[in-house]
Amino acid sequence: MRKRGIILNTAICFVFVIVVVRLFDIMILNHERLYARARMQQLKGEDIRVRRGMILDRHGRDLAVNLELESLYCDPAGIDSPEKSAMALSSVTGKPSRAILTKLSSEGHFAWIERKLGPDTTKKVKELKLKGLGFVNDSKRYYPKGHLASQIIGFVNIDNKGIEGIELKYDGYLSSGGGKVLFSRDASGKTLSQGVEMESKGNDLVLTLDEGLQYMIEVELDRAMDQWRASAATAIMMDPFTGEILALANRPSFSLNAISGSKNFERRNRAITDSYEPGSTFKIIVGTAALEEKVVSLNSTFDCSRGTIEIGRRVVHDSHKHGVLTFKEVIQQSSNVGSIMVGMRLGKERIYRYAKAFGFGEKTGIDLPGEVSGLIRPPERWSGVSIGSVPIGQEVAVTPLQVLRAYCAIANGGLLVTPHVVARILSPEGEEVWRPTYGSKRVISPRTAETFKDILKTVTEEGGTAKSASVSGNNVAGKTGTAQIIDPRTRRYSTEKFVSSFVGFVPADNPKIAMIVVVYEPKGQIYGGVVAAPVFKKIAENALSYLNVPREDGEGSMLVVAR
Amino acid sequence: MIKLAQKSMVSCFLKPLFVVLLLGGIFGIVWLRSGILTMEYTISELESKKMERLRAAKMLLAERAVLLSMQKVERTAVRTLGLVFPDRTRVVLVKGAARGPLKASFEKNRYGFRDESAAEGGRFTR
Repeated sequence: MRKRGIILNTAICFVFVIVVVRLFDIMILNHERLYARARMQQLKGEDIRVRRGMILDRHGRDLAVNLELESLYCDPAGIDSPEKSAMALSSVTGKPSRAILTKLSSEGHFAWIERKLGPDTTKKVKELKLKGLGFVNDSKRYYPKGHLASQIIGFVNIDNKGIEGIELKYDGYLSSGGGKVLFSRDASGKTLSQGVEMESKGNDLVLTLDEGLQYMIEVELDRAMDQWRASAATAIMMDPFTGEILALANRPSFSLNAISGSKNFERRNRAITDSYEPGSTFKIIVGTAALEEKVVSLNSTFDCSRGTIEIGRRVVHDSHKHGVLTFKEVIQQSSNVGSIMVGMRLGKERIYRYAKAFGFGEKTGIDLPGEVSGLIRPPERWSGVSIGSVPIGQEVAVTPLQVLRAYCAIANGGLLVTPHVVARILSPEGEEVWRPTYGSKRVISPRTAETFKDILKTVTEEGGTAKSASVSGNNVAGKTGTAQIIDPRTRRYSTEKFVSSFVGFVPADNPKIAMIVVVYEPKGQIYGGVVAAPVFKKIAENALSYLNVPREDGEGSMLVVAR
Repeated sequence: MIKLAQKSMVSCFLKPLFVVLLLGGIFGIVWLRSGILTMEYTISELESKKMERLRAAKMLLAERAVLLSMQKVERTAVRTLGLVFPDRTRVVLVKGAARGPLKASFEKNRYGFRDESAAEGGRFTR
């Protein structure tokens, strides 16, 4: 009896020792290796979903939002029959079966089949119940307004990185840091939640743009393009006191939701990336400089009766013979001869100094990528005929935005403002993260600005070059521009290709908007007063109505609706 | 004798009690762990439902943005409702009037309801 007891106890001890030895092996000797293997089986890493912030107009209307879609991937090792699977997927996704088959037959354990599938396609693929396929949540940038402000907003690539426009310039604010979270999973692969927030959102951008005003200028630019069969057109609307861009559009344009089908020239933001010779809109430089430097008075007279002026070997013409003009009439009737005479009184040093002061030859600093600085040569590099060219806007290259900014300085009493398109940045919780503050620089005295504003008002009055820009009920101050384009073949000014423009502000005495309209290579008519000024008028009338700017003549006779 | 009786008491009551407590403890821990697991499964399912709803909500927001775009609103106003953009000469502003999101003339489009009226006739405005 006692002997059996000893045998039993010995056996139990032996088994116990075996268990202890095995446990020692598992828990101490091979702990690291086995622990890592267990973690691999039990844990699944999942990326935190990074969502870009939204882009909104100044009233909070969505311009860029995110859609939650799913991307399809495959584990080629887990595919049963690559050929059959490829055929089935091709019929659902519309992608060539050969391309899918290449991915299903690739080496490794992961290959994308199609990124960002639509909800319907995702559902159909899931219904196929094919082995070796998987889905990952993915975010797609969507632009609900399509073409609207496309060159300002810009777009992102497949990985949601900004590559154009605001999307590029403010990519750091719009995107946010990602990361990975490890989830436990059971034997069937079902994950167990850790209660961690799986979405990280970027900041929202509130732009200075107004969707309503943007729509108005885009509609009118389309009409101008059709009417004048122009090669391109640009319009910018700005608050002359703050530099806020209220609307900016270029033609040709493209839809933000069909980027792959767009051409490079359609994506160009001509308002800041293309420079041109401004022509008569540049006459404000000699005009304001002459007043500021007291070289002329309003009643100074200039004999333009010949209709031409000789500068070196170059003869500059007026559109017709004007006779003797006062300084005011030189600007009102846009006399080249008179403007050159004023320029000669000023001298090239002062013309250059004022052109630089008004911001020509330098970037405006707008918060958009790709801006060019334009060109104005320093006086020491002027040729003998430059004094007959620069005062009338030749031999200089400017962007439409630079011209508009210079006119804003007249509108606001002499201050050069910084144009910008982002008004503020909001955190995902709606807190204000950043609000830009831009300074302004005085370029002319308030008195000169006021005097010149009065002159610009006469341009849209009877006898001026842009009566077609006048707006019923409010005074418009502005200037037309008709500039020849240099033909790259002959390297001379083309007699067929012109740039027609009109730039101004309204209401002239208390400006709410400043705007420039530039039409490139119009057919049939060339003059800014005929081509661009009516576009300005149409947009300005709609915009003033939209902004509830009252008429100044008190002729409103009937209440239709007011808010 | 008394010592023997005490010893049998210990083996009769305390040992089973110890075993019961041990088993109860183990059961409690297993039950708690299983409860946590069930909860994690539930949260996981709810999170995927939340994701679905979020996805739908984002789609709806995008659709709303499309429907409220100026182009869409104008087309509806002009072509469907026959509204026109108010002529400035016929609008007076009432000081102190509440600022609303939209305003439009309720006059019939002078071109009737034809589609081409969109080009000439009206705008819808904020």
